[in-house]
Amino acid sequence: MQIEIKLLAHLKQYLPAPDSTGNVRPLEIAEPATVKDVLEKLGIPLDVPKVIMLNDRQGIMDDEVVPGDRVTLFPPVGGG
Amino acid sequence: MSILKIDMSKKEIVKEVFTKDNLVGGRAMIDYLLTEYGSPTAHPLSPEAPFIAAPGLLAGTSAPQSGRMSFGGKSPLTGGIKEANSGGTAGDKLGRLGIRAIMVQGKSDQWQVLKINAEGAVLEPAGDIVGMENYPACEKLRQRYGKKISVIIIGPAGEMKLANSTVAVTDPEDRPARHAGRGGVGAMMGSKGLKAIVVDSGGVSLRKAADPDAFKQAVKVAVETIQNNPLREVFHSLGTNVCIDVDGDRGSLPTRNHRHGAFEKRRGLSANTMIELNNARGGSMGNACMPGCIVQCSPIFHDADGNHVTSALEYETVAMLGANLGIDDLDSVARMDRRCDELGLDTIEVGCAIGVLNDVGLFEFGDAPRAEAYIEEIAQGTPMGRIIGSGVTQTANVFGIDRIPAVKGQGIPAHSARSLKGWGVTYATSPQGADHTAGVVEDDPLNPVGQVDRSRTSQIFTAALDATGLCMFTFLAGTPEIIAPMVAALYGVGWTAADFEELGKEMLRQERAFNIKAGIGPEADGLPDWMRTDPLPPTGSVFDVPKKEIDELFNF
Repeated sequence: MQIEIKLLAHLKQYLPAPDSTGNVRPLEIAEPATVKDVLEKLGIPLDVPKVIMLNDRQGIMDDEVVPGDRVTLFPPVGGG
Repeated sequence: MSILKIDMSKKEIVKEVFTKDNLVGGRAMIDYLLTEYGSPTAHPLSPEAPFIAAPGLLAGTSAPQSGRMSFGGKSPLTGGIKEANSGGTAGDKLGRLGIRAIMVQGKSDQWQVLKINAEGAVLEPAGDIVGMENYPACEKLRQRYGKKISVIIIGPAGEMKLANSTVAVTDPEDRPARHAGRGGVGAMMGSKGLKAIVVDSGGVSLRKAADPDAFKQAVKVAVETIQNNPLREVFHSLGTNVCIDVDGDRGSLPTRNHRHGAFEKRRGLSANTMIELNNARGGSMGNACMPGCIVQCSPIFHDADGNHVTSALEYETVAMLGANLGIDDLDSVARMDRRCDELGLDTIEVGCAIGVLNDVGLFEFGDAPRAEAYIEEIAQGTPMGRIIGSGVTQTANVFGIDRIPAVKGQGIPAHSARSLKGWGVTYATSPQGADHTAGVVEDDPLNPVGQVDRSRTSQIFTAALDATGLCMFTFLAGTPEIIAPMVAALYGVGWTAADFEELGKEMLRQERAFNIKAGIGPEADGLPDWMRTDPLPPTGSVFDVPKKEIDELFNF
């Protein structure tokens, strides 16, 4: 299936097709897939600090990803 | 620009001019005034010990999110210097009125309200709001003084002078939901006989900068930097509660009395759960707690019947009254947050205190009704209530508990030190005690190397930030290079990023000097010994930054 990924700040290094501009990419991934599967496909170590959004919600590792979803990775937050 | 000096014994108010040469505000103002006028050996609740309220250097201007209010003095919880700050609407108003600080000494036997407006300041008897919880007391004050006021108020916990009592500030919805939480600032205010401060800046416009063009340009850069930072969207859409999963994933979410760093039932406390409940019940995410805020991070939470329960249901509260107590019911946590806001209690410290009761069979993890009942005991002022309301260290001492999650007497917050070692160095060394806002460090969290340097840099930056009245989330605007030009243009002085850094250093020097005179020296800088030997699952890490290195942090 095709989903969209957006990687921000220093996480941009994990974008496929680095010769393109911007930080949004389409990504082909086999169904069924979770958020965790998307990170593994991008080669992002699971312990790299980050915040994940799945569309307009927080992305949780075990959440299922469906066609057309956008997974966004942000640098870590602090405080609260 | 002036300072109000209040003598509560004589009911006298003196207004002193404060010159621009003294570029201090917020936490820096508290440090300055305590160094000048405070006695480090006075009992924190004595008439001599000043209670200080101070907006930041940028208060009352168009600088984004610049309305934080600082409160402080000598802490009844730590025995050392204390500043706690909050959002709300008071900072902006006091800034517009040109008031740089309110310093309160003496003691009034009859509870007073301090009324401040463009005409001046006057003390009036508090009357029937004495003994009232914060929400109804604020409503009464609005009826008495008009709907445009901002209210600074202590609840029953502050009236009881409990070491874990807060000062509340009303939010843009006029609710006393923003709290200067840590270290017993409520007791400081209560010890003077001061129940509330009402501020009306009606008709007074924003402060004019000494160099209006430069100020406008500096503000524009700050606004754009915050707006363009991707994390702004995270805080705005998901709220601070995003950390339930961020900390849960990295093993730093305090769970079951700081015994674990992850909570298998965290889904019930998560940002997504809060969003879904808010959507279904008419609550909302993404609210501003002060005028001029661009990040707008704060939730307004409703119950299952669609009624407002509490505002500002933030990560520290959800973690410490939720995961730390083995509770996964967001509605229970919300009720407890509301009760703490009504009574004026710090939710972090309450969560730590109830958590340690598990060690002596007085609390079973997950027992939400018991946790709620303990908070009601504080409301009733029962002996048990007073014990818990005095914080985790007092609670542990009364029950003979040795495994105390505290530094300098203050409960350890919701980013676990053993798996966030840099943050742990901040808890260990900050003159404020275990304080998660004193110097955030998240890099390379399981590695003890290099963390002292990171914590030093972070504490210096944060101290200076706390002088400006800027919300911590202005870190989204990153740097002193963006903050300093606003201060320079407003006051018409040459003030650079280097001055910003030097201010932070000087503040920390003053705080440390006060603490040493108060009897808290470098030997108190450390995490509890058991955190060096007791591994925190799931990472299995201990706090292993050497004490020798920790002692080098304040090398400036």
